[in-house]
Amino acid sequence: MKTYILRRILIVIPLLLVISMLSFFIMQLSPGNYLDQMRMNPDISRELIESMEEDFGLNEGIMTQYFAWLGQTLQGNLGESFSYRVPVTQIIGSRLFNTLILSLSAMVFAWVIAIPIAIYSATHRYNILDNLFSVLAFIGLSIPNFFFALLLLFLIVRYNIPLPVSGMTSVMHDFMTPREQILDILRHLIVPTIVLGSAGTATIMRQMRGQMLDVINSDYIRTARAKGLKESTVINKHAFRNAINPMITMFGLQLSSLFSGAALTEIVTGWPGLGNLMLTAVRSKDLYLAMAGLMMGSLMLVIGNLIADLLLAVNDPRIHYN
Amino acid sequence: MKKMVFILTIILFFNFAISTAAEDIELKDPWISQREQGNHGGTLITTLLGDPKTFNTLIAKETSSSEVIDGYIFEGLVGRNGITTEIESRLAKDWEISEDGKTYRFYLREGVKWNDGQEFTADDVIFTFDLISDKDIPTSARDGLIIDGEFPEYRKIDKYTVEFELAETFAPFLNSMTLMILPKHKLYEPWQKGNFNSTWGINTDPSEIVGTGPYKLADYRNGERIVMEKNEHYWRQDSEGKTLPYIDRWVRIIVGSQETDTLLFERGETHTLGVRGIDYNRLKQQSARSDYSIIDGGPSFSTNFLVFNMNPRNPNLEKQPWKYEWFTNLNFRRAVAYSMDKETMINQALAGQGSKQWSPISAPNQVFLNEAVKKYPYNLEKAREELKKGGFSWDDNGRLIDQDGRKVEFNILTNAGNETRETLLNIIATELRELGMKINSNPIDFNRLISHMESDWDYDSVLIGLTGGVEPHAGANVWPSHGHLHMWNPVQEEAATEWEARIDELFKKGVSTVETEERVKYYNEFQEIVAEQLPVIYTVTPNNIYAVRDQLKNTETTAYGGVLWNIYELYLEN
Repeated sequence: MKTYILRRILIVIPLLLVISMLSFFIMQLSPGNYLDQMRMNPDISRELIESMEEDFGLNEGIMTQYFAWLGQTLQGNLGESFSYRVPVTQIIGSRLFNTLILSLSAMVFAWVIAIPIAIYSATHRYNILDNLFSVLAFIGLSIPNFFFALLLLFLIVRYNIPLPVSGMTSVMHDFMTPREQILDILRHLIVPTIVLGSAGTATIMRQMRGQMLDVINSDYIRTARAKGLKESTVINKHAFRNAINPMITMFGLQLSSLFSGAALTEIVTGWPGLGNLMLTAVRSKDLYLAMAGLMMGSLMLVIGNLIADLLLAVNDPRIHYN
Repeated sequence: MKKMVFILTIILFFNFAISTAAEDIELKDPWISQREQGNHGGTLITTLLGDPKTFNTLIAKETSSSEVIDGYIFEGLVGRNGITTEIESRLAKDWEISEDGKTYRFYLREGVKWNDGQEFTADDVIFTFDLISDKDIPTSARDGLIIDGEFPEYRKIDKYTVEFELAETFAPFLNSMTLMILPKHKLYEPWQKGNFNSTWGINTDPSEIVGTGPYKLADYRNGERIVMEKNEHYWRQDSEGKTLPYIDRWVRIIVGSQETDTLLFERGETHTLGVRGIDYNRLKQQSARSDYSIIDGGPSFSTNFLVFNMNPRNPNLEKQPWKYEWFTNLNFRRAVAYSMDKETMINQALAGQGSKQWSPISAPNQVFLNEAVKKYPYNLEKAREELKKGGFSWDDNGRLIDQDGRKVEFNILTNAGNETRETLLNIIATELRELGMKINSNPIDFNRLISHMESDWDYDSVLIGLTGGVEPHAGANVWPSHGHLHMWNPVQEEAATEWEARIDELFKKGVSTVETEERVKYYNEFQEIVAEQLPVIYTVTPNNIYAVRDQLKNTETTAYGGVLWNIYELYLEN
């Protein structure tokens, strides 16, 4: 097991290197750079833009720029943001934490709702509730997140539901007791969590339902039933444990999206997370800020996969890694 | 023991002396509000559409930063009135300009304090200009001050007087003096250490950010909100002699999108809103039975125009030299101008809330706008006449052809993602097709658009916009023929046409006198030439519309200043 983990970690290094090259070059190969926004500003002279270009190292060749960045990064310095003019780690820190809160809560929301529903649907196939859940799942899958968010916000305003419309904390947050502060954040979490969780719920629900159905129809379940086991034991102990395996892989993939998957939802609900920041960074070509975000996303993907594989081994004794 | 007591007494005495000295600074020239006396206190809540990138006003390049700090936390020696757009006093109570327009002397308000209690003096002004003239600091403020390649000389006359000496008469100098003054006692050290550029970034402790403006930074939560508190030492007073501003705290929520912004306002959580065209009718109807009013501030400074490539250095001309002939043909450009259906543009692209633009000076610029320029009201018949005059004709299928029988076909580019411009582009293309032209409308990525315009020069025509300002000389990179934003034919060594040469001359003359009346004459002629020659063809400009809660008093909303330009004298009714 230990050697397996070590090997996996060693593979990560060249992988990240390739990812970093790809992201860097793709971003640099698309036309223009960060300074283009300023070129159309009549107040900014050409000389100033040229001197900034030099300052940022944008006048160097792409290769030189890449290796300069790589060298810095290996020493733990992720570079300075062009627009903020401070090290990117300073900008990302608090945002990263906020995104993590939101994604975790959405994930918990999705799994806690989806798994019981899926088990119910699988054991009560084609009854009214199952059909209803299917319809809801398809709606959840097909509705774009930003639209769903807007819809919810609109309903909140229209029917005066006492839920916050935007942000992570209310204006009076700093004057609250710690308990109230936590409640305040939880209240703000509701809308983005539902929005972000809904798509996940739908996917997990459909997947799990299918898995359960496969398992329920298999021979060993029939054997279990024939042995005269209680139905609840058959479902919960035998069928469920077997059906959950592929879901763990899915869980690993979802882990990676913890840091990246929420940009639009974050923008619409005003959640101060990383997604919004990264989107602006990529669009304005704030090179090092965007690179830091991309690399973090990649790292999470790799780690998420690793965790999923390990969980799989824990859950299923048939799986060994040598 | 006695010695101790003695030392203690001395320490106490000195402490006392120092603290009284600070108290001693007396505000000699307060500014007194002429508006209705309001009540002090309360919290104002507004929104911002983006995070500030820095609190360092010299480094800030985006409006998302400057709209947080400029005028609210920092102030200039002079500033512009939110209604008349005229220059008026701020940190300088008065100023004198010498006869030849080369020497400017500013008399500072005595006893003004920074929001940490330190006194503001001429040293701070001198320090600010030391910063601006430092070539290691990337600031656009320097560009506005360099006249004929020289930075003006500046000197301290006494504690409350500074003087500037210019090499040449330069009228926009006073406009440049609206730049924000920074505190020497806070920034001298970082500057000496060489890290001024990263000082006052967004993670700075709010109490470190010291200005003279009506508000000071109290808290900034990245992506969430900025909280500002009243500057207790501010130099403006109400009619009862109490320090302004009225409103104690100002919370500015950072919203991710305009939709959320509107929802927040409708819920009653914010006091003001910049209304989008598509929300206008709904909010207008609601406002009748609600606690807010909708105010149309009139046309804004933003512009949308069509520009044809008249650059002989266009690399595409090798294959299609005739395009140069078309685009430099004045009748052709006039025909295009006549085919601008501005009514439809306003209705469809701006949801009915916009104005037609004819002159290169934006409509809110009341001092310099020339309303009498040549206009080209929508008329396809006239457009056809112009085309005929220009040597164009139509083939049997109604397609427009030039003298040599070539079909008129060209691209119009615009930046993708800007809905207004994409709609405008569609309307323009439809009308031009009506005239028999073949138009390929092509929204592309902004960065690509810029490289086509700025460095490659290989486009046919572009629909784009620039944001104007009050000082016409701000267009010095656009209109004179050597300008790098002289889009139709940038960075010319010598003016290609007579009218461009005349504009070059007018821009030189426009800065050579400080008499506003005389300047108006020069800029009027410039506007006439542009309307006559149509190097850019203006379309429509959106109106700035605001929703303001009735609870917020003393407002006088304009397109130039918005709702909050006089935030120091706004108050919240109980």
